[in-house]
Amino acid sequence: MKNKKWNELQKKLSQEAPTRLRHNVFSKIENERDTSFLKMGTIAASLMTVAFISFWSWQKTSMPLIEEGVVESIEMQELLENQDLFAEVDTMELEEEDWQILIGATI
Amino acid sequence: MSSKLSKLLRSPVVLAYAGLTDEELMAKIQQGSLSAYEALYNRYEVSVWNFMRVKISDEQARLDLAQDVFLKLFNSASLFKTDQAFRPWFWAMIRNVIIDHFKRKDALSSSMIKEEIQDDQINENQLFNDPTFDLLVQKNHSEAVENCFNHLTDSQKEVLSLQLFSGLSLQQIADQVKIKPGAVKSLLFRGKDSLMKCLERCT
Repeated sequence: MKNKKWNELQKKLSQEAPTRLRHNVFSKIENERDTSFLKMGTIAASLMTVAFISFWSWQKTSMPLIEEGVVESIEMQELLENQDLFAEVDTMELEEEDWQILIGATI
Repeated sequence: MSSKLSKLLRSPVVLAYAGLTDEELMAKIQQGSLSAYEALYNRYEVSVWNFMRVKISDEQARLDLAQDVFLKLFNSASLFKTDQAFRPWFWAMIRNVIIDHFKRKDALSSSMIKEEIQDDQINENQLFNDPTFDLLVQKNHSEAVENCFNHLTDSQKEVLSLQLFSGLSLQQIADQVKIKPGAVKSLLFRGKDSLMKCLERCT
């Protein structure tokens, strides 16, 4: 529905908005956007740093154990102690050493 | 047409978004389009400014509040549901900014209640299409019209300025100010009557 208006009254009371208004609004928005991009960049950089430190620390502490086979055999022991042993372990992929542990655990 | 307005109407932003509704522009703003925001700003800059002029006499405060309204529009765009009508949502926001500024929501509401006299007998056609009223306004200078307008009660000014600048229907104005449509018509009628009497004295 078209809105009814008092056109004459509207004309007499109307005035153009000052250019300052447009300038102030858009510069504030630009500033806010710049600040939020900066914030997002800082957050992304922080997350990447945390991820790198975590990876580095994991690598430093866990890699030697994996290389020595300590971690693998501990995990295998845990798996074998589980009731759903054969559901969890793909027996086709087991190595000879694993079979020995498996037999030992099931006896 | 002023040179500023004709320049604005030819601007690439206005041309690119001319066919889009306010709600479609809001959807684009939600996706981060600053151009869509500029198009919406262009549509409402003059009406918001003039509504503010009626409501706020201090020029600096008016500028600050108009600025707050447009910044709030940008920052709250994500809260807008694109299946709702933009205009009532936006004008509710404008009124809230003004009410917050004055911190007199209760006082304003109570003054509205006092004047809430329902009158469904007022003929809308007679109310809005009155050649005598138009002629009186035409004959007087802007300053005189503005002066008479400022002598209206707060409630009359509220509904008259919404009627003049918001583009809302009577029902939507009634929803905004939380009174019945009959009461809005009554306030418009009495506001117009007071304006006519004041302008007659000035002529």
